[in-house]
Amino acid sequence: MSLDFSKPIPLFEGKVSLSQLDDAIAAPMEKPDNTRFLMAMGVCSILLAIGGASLFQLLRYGTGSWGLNSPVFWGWAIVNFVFWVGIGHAGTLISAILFLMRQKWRNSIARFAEAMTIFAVITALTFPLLHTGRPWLAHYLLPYPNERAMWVNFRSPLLWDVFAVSTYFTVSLVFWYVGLIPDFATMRDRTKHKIKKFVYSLFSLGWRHSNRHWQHYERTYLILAGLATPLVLSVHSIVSFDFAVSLIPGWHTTIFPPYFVAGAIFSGFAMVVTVLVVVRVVYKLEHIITLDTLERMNKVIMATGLMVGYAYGMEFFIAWYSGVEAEQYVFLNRAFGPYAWAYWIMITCNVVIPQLFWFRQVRRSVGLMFVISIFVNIGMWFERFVITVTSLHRDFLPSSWGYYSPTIWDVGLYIGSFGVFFTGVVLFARFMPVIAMAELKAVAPGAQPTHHHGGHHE
Amino acid sequence: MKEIKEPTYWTSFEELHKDPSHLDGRTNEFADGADEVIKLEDMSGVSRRRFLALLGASAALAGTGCTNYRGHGKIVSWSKQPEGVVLGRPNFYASTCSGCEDACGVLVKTREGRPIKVDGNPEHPMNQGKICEKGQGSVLALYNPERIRKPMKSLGKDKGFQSLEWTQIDSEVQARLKALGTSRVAIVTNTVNSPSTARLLESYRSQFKADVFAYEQFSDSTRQKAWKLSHAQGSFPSIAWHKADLILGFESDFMSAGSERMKTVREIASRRSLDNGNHFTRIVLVEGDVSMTGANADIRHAISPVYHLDIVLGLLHEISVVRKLSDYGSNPSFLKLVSGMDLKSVSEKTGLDLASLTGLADDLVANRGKAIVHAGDLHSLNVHLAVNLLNAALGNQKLYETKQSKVQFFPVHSTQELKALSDALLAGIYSVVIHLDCNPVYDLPADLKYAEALGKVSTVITFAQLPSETTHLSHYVLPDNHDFESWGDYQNKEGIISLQQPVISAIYDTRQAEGCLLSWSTAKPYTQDLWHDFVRNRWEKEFYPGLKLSADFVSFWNSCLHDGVFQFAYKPSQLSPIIVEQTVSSVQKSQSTGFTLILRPSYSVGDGRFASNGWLQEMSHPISRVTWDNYVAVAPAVARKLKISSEDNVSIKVGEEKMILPALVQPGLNENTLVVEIGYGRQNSGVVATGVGFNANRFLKSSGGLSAHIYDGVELNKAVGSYTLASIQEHHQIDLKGPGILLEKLTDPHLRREIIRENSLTAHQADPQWLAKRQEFKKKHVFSIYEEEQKYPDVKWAMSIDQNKCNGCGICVVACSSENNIPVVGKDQIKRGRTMHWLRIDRYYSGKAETPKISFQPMLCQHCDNAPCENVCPVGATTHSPEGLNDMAYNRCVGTRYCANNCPYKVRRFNFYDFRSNFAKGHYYNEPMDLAMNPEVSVRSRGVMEKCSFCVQRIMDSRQEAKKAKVQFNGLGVTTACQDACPTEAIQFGNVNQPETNVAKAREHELNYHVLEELNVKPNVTYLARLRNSREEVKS
Repeated sequence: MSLDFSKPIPLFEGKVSLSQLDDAIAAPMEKPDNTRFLMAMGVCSILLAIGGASLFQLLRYGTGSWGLNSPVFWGWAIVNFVFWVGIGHAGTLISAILFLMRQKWRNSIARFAEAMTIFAVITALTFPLLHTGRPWLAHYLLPYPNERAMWVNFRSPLLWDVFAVSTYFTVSLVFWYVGLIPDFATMRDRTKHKIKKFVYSLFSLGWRHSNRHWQHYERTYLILAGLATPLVLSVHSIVSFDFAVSLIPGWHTTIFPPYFVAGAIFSGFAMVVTVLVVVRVVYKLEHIITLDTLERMNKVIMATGLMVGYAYGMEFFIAWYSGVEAEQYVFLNRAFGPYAWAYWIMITCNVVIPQLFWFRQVRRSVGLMFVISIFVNIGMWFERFVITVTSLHRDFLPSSWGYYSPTIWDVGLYIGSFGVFFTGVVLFARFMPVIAMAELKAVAPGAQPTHHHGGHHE
Repeated sequence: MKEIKEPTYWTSFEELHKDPSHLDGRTNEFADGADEVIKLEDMSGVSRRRFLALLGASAALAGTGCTNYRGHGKIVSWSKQPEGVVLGRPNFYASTCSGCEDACGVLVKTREGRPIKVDGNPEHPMNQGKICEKGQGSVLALYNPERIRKPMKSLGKDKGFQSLEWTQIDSEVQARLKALGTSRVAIVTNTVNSPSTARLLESYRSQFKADVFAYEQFSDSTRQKAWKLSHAQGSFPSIAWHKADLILGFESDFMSAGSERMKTVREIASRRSLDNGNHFTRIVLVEGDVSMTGANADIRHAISPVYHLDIVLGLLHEISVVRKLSDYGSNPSFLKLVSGMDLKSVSEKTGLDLASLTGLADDLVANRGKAIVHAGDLHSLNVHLAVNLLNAALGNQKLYETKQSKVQFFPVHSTQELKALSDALLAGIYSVVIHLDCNPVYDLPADLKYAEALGKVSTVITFAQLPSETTHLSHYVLPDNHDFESWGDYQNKEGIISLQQPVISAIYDTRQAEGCLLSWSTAKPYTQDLWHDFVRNRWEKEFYPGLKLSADFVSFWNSCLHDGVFQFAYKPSQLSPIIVEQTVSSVQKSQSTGFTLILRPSYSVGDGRFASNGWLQEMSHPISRVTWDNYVAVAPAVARKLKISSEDNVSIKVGEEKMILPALVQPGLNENTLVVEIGYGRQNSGVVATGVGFNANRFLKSSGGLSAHIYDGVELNKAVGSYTLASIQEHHQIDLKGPGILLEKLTDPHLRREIIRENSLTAHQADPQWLAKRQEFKKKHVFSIYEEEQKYPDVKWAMSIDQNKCNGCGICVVACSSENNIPVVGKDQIKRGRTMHWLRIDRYYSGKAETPKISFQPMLCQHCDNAPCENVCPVGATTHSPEGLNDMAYNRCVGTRYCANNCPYKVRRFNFYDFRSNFAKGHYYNEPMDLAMNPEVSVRSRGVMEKCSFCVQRIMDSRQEAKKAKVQFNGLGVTTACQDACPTEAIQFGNVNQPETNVAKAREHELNYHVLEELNVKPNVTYLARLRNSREEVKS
């Protein structure tokens, strides 16, 4: 096969006009396939019901319903929290960092990725709240003035978490919403339905597509992108501090911040690929979310997968190099101890399987990338499981070693979390433009002034 | 001086006219009374402000302090405050625990009239302020919600019971006793230690033709029998353990069972003290089981009990025949007995290597007159007789204290010996059977058919506190008083009488059995005083005059009650010499095949009588650390051969009796030996006891095996399925799999990580600084980049644990549960790794699975100076006190559990559930369990983290006293509950800033170390490394 690297890869397949773009993106909202929508919601409701039952059990009887014990005081809830926060990373990375780097291919996927970020973070946030012994006292974690002058402990990484994740959520939400304003205006202009018109008008905040609006919009978007960029790095760094700041062998590791960030991007991209592959087929957006874009995502997946693999290796090296008995044992125990199965699932899914992306055919095969992306997410869930559980289950004193296995209520709540996430995704896909129309049109052929006529953009 | 100018302006007429009170007010910002502190002594003239302040304070006090939290129940104030009772202050009363034959003196702590904590009575010469775990647990037994509350009459077999009034019971029983005709009355009881009870039962003998059967499942009756045979008179004397330089035990668990346990462990520990110039005693144990004592032994030989007789005879042969150190060599029947028992052939037969055997003989010879050879309670008569011979040959009788010989009012039968009783019952000789708080239906061997025999008796009366197998088959179930509701006197040793007095009036409609019996025999109506008057009269009439005291009886009686114990002058009998001929002729040698099964008492629930006690069920087996169950202990080699691992089911066949039990692979167990604990598998005994474990009493035979509790010819086979044991420590660690690099890390990880520091005594003597040097090295390399923030100028709390003295008994764990309101979590929660004990005893095996060294390490919150739990708590619920305590604010705790994760010692405990509600459908929420709670300690709710507080309530109490006395608080005299309970004084607590405290001294000792020192968390619990007085190293 011959590839011409001197020419930029086209962002669209075939020739699309601006109005065709609008039509294609607005189609799911204007001519919805309600049968499919209700089926999807039905599946989500089942997941939510399972989650609800698990939640009832948890609140009625306590965290004892889970498989937690001494020494494994953190189990699936924390694993799920880190897992979902990680998934939430792709959105901001794609929208903020890739935006600042002027990566135009991001425009077709940014909106969806951002939406997934919002839902993933919402899902993630439920876990630290619910995992506490007394969730009704969660407000103790906020530094609010009170008559007893009791203050939070600023030395605790859990408190940093509260700030980091809530900041991340706020900024992501604002960023997402700001991007949505011109599209809401477009939808408002297109619809004739009274209620829809009212709702879209409300959310488009009086947007008139005026030159001044666009100028303000571009500025705001750039500033928000600048603000969001450090957050991409900070959130998962701080989540990793939950572990790294402790002194438990297997947690007490300086490599954690970059390793967690790479892992988060890895899993976030994989989740975006998993969902987009379905969405682009269902909504017939193959010409907009092109194979080229997906291939680029797969390259990122492979690159971050290699970083994660490097971190796995480096952890072993440092453990050996440190000479710390307990730490050396913890890592050997990960690979060969009672949880070796989890470790090798993680290695297989995160390090071995993504190597398939070295092959161009695999990177461009929709079916294979769907499967691989799911494997990556399984692997990344196991990574968090391995870090959380295997470090705790055999730490310093051999007298206190134990084994952790989840109960059906752990599993139920995890299933429920998928319900929360996918309910959000399905509702989003039904009622909002899944691709940023305005941004996409800006990079459409002929949208920008150029020296050539027609032909290639830029 | 410059004259002060008159003001040229004025604000009021008072100022203008220079009213003195007004001028004064200008310099005093606050008017009189505005800022005054309320001083009670100045309260005569009540100002308006004072009045309002007082009104507000009393309203607040009445509103918050006096409300019943649950909003029900009546508040009845004392119209007349009882003498000596101050609200909020504990009172202590001396009494006696009747839990076992030892009858230890106890000191009961009561608050507002309810007992909340028990410790030993320091005045009692035998137990000297210490009691065992069962005694510590007696508080829970008092408030057990399942206690029988009213007398009951059976409605027929398996048809349940009907509550009756006592008066009706009285008339029915008295009618039965009058209409005995030719039939007799059988009174079945455990050991009778009380002279007054003995007198009462004597009166039943004469009045109602009653026969008294006193029995114990586990007692030293075999040893006593052997003593009678070899010494003809007297009973087995006490042993002066502290004078012994060498202790050689045969299947002898003298540290956890047997008579005078508290004295034994105290005296042995006194010879394991590091301040004792390292004059350590040497403990050698030859045993098939792995007992707690074996774990503490300096040398332990895993030899099946079948061969113990051979070893003793071999030693006798060596000493008397080879080395000619005794005159037995001239006795032909002795020579016949030991013929062919030279050490070499004994070594070949028993599997005990010749070097060890010779070493044993050398040790015994070297320590003649300063050694004790001791055979365990479970052992056969033969071994006891041979041991008597050996002790006599070595002149070890010097260590017998005849002054404290045993007193028995009725001969104590072993369970087998009750054959006479069951035969008589079957023959219809007895028409009335009275059980005095004992449980023969469960205890007796099945082939005695006791349950069936009871069916032939027209009236079965059972006095009991709790439902049991025996109450289930009784016609009348009469609720008995708990010890704390009873009067009594106890004498099990010459010269010591321990008094029992009630510390709470009977909670339910119960009667003290003795009082009830007395009312029947004397036809007097029962009152609570009836038995008291009987005991008191007996003392006044029979005991007091003989003492010839100058004090009048009332003051004598009151002072005895106050002290709880009376020691009277008594002339001990001379130790009778051994009768060699008779002893030798009684020894019978036997051959054995197959596995040998040892049926031993449970470490926690005894012979089963404590099975209803959740604290004890949850106290782990000291070696296997299994709770809430019994199992078959099998040796690792056997497990390999049968291809079983821990928790697999196995079937055991003893004679015709076959049972399926879970196996536990026990490192160090002799490979021909199986061990099963007795005390489990109770039926019809309430929610805590019923169905816990397996009833191993079924293996008991009235004919016995090698002894009453040791059976040979046992078959062991793999069975189908498995069974989960609730162990506090992982027991899979022996089945190691994986690559060599991992296995290396898993070989004795506690030694590699320097958690356990041990050495041999000789190595230590050669280089006393071996540990100190290492500590010095570590200290040099462990540093912090931060300056130490907190200084502790006044008081700094710390604890020191001497691992030479700690024998792993776990009494401290139960004491801690009692003091700190620690919930019982139940078997299912222990299985899931959710024990709540603030203090645990870690057990480590080192070396080979066949011959492990066993180490114990009490582990509790280390109250680190750089506590890793404190900085990770997001809400600041756990913080550092100015005195170095790591405090928990339960109300602030949200339950993130981060602190517990970050604790390197894993001593933090989380309330995953409301455990009191979760256990047995809220069993421990039932009335009157709330009375058992220590009011000084919060009862923690679900979702809250908790841990050892160094008994902060006791510290605060002591500080309060110091404040009241207006002295500087120096922390002297504060003790923790575990320290109080520790029978060997292994736990020392105090203010390290006071150089005279034991803690401060221990910290200076060369064997002092911190666990995980390299983490620089600066723990405040320090350990003294254990030294083993082992022989192998002595030679090298």
